[in-house]
Amino acid sequence: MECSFSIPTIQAISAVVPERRVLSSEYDSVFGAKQVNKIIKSVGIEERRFVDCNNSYDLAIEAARRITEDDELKREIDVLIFVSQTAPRAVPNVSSGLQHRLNLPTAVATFDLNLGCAGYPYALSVAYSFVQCKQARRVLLINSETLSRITSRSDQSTSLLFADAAAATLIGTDGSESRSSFSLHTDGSGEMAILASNLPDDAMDDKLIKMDGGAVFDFVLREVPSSINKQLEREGLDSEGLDLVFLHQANEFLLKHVATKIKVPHSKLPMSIQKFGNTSSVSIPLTISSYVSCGGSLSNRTCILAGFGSGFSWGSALLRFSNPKIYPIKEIAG
Amino acid sequence: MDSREFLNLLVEALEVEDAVNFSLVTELRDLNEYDSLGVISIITAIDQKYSVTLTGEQLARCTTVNSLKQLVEAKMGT
Repeated sequence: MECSFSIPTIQAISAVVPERRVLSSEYDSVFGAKQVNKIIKSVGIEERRFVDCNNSYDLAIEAARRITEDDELKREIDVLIFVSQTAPRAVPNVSSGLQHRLNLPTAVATFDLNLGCAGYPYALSVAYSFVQCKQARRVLLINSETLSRITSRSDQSTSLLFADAAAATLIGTDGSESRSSFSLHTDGSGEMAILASNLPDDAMDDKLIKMDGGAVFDFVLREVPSSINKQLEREGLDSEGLDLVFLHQANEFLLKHVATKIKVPHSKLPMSIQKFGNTSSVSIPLTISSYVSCGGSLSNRTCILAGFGSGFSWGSALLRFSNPKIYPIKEIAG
Repeated sequence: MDSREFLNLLVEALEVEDAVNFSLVTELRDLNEYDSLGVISIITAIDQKYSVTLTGEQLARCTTVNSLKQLVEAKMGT
């Protein structure tokens, strides 16, 4: 699906990570130092953040609080969307509790979306639709994952990859017009490639995330670069017209290769995977926050935000930032 | 395609320790370096060098270095 918008814009992003730091080298005793070093060199992850007792609901509150405690930003939030594949419960939707915990008015519409690594551009397109149609003045989108809780320590394809984090994004309009476009796709033939059960009767082992890394790698190389290139072509842009590319932080090696295939120099590819690992749909706003924390500027930058993963689903947003408020990444105890 | 250039590409991608004995008749599965990360490294290196995107399945059907070379050549149309 392709869609475009003229008035919505990202107004603020607040990302949080657990304060507990887990070094990849801590897995030397599981896989051997040589193998761990090889994985670090390829995947790029030196350390990650894991929760102790918090769940994705707790992290979501912490991420959103800085936005909802700002009277200026809090005003006019009409929709709250919670995106997670590690929600701590099936009933009721987590976003209903978030409305209460964040002291938002009962006039706010809330819903949860079950989306994986493509969840940021997908959910952003939903938020943009509400704002574009003027059904919502502002939308608060919260992506939150505690993947460490469903990752086996001894599964080499996942144990050195996934991590925990949350990010809240405020979408609204500043009165000006700026074109943005979205390109969203699905290939359900890959539904078994990244899998975790949440059925209560299933064995614990089935609840741990499993990934066919080779199949995912093939899928990303097959679909993502061509999808982004086609989107750029439709918008009359080439890669030189892009200031920054924020890709889902799946694997450093893979990201650099995707960037090469869309002819984007690595200098335009901010990354946070080295310090925060793969945090599924949180990784794009987390990388944006990390980029700004390191002195980068988003002002008037034309960017691609692309996510891809479980489903398979993939999507990209081509947008121009105005001057969003990006909070420093906050560490959360627990 | 130049065989030496192709061998060097794989030696570098896989970080083959015994590069001296690495040749076109080398069985890929006999290499310690040919694991899941090695597969990804080969696919990426070939894609960058020859603009040929192999899948893991196609690579799995290659037994020797030479059969891989022939597959890449066929896809390049040379």
